[in-house]
Amino acid sequence: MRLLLVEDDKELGGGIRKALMRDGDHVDWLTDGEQALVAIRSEDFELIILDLQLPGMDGISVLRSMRREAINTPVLIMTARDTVDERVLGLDSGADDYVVKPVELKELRSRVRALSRRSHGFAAPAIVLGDLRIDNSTQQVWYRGNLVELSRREFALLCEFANRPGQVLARGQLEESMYGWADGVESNALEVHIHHLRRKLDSQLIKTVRGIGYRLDAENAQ
Amino acid sequence: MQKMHNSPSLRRRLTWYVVIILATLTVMSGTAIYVGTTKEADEVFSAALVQTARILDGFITRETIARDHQRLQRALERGPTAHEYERNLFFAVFDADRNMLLHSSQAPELPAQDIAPGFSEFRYQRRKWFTFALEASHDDLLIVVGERSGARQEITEYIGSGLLLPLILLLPLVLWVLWHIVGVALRPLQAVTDQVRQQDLRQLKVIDVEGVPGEISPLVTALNQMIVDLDAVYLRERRFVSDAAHELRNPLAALLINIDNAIEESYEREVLDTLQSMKVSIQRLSHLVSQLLALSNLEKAGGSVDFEPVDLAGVCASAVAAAGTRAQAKSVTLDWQMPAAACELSGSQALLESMVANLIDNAIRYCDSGCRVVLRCRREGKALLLTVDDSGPGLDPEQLSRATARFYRAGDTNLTGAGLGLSIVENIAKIHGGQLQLGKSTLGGLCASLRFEID
Repeated sequence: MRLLLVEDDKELGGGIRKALMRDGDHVDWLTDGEQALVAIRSEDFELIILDLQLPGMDGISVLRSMRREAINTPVLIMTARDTVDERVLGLDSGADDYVVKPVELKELRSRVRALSRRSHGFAAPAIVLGDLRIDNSTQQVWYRGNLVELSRREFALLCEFANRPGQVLARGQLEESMYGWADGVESNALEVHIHHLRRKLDSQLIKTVRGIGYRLDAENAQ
Repeated sequence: MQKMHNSPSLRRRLTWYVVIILATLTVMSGTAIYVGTTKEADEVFSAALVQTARILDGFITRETIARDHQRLQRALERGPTAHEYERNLFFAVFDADRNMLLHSSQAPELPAQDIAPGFSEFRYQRRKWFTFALEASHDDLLIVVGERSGARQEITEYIGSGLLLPLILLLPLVLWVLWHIVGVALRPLQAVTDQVRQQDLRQLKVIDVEGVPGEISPLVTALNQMIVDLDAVYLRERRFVSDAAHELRNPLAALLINIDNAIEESYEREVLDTLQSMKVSIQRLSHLVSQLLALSNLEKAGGSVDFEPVDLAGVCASAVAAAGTRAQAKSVTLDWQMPAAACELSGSQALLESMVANLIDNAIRYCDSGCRVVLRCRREGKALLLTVDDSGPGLDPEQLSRATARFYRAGDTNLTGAGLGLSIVENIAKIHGGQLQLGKSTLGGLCASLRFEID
């Protein structure tokens, strides 16, 4: 999925970006509040991790502005402020979750996954589509009762499809969520990952929609 | 009230000064009156003596003495005396050879040869006499009129004591009135003292200058300036702790995430071990920072915490539930004994939760695996009692006395605590009017007990 990380601490931002990219998510990282608001307005993110103390514009103002403009992207506040009043202020300003620094990677990951899951309308940690079962918390995939070994990138790509079952996902949209503007796009990387998924799961699971992109068809897979 | 052995009382000093001045004035005016009265009485009595002598001179001649001696002497000796002062007065008449021709009945034996005209004094029978001698105008007679000196003294003493006695008797009354007047006058000082004494370091307030007398208003103004400065210093210190803790969190967060990254990317056993131990240190640091911030916030909040009815038993139950995983991980048995009666007190739910959590955390932290921790809460008359017992190693008396000091950690310093837990517990207890007591537990380890008075 495509994430926006707004964090002005270079080491922390870099570390989080690296960790989430390793999971196969695409992370755009900005260090300035105003720039973040511009990006939020123009780009389509699935989730935003937002620090509160930022140069340019503070996190609460960014959050309020985007909510005022009816941008409903889930926001996870990650800050050093930990009093009850500050948490309440953050959540009441429109945040979906609040985590206090320092946070362990596994906790951050699980919060990101939980937010993403809920924003797609799933409450249970596992997504079941026909014979396909994706467990977000353990990052395991079962197909027809068998555990399937997937790389992190393959798992992330499958989640993109699973979050929007039946929908046609455009090539460009998928590429953006996988690699984003900050990466050098390898021309056939998407095809390679799709190919691997079809080989490991089922050749009929991901259908090619000619000229547009791909679609997950879990119900009708043979 | 604090003891003030070494500081002189302004009230006492003022009262004494005024009393000393009054006493001096009294003595001085008394002396002046005495001297003045004595002199005036002398004048009056002397004039009377002269007058009497002149009257006698007018009536008494050798001829009248010779003719009426018998009758005169009888008249003079006729008793009883009409006035007690009569005894103090006398007259005598001498001829040129100083033979006494006539005298009043009380007349003393006069040293006749020595009598010279005019005023003189002499002693007779241990008494002092004043006399006035006049040479008669017709014959060569000497008329002596005298008076006992005691009479004059009695009168001056009478007049003097009449004036002095009321003053001496009034002195204690004056002292008493003065004491109270000075007390009333110094009351504004007491008011200022009370205001200073009631100051809370967390919420310093300037002293009301209104109604403060001019003499102490510079002191109050100076005090107020000091209070403002002190408040600023205190605020800065509190901010410093909170800012420092806050600023520590970003690098700590970066460290933690990057170590997690390194752990995930590393496949070498030895490197992984190193990274894991680094992670433990960072978690310890994070815990310390959180506790420091909590303590700083507690001290900042101080008196301005919103109170609501809180069920202490409920707080304990949820704290036990929350600590369950940690206790299990360390193989420590955590028991919670529900109280029979309700344990409600007025307080802050969040703070009380933190307090109980810290107590349990502390007990688990210092216990070896296999130990038992028991949390109890009960109502005892008009008080709530919360105790945490453990079967751990406990503390010796020397350690007990230092246990609530900041950053104090008993025994093994490899333990992961920050040493702030009991400090936080004590602070929260204080905010709720409670008291933390540490002692030996019946289970063998430490017993931390908290007592809250309720009404």
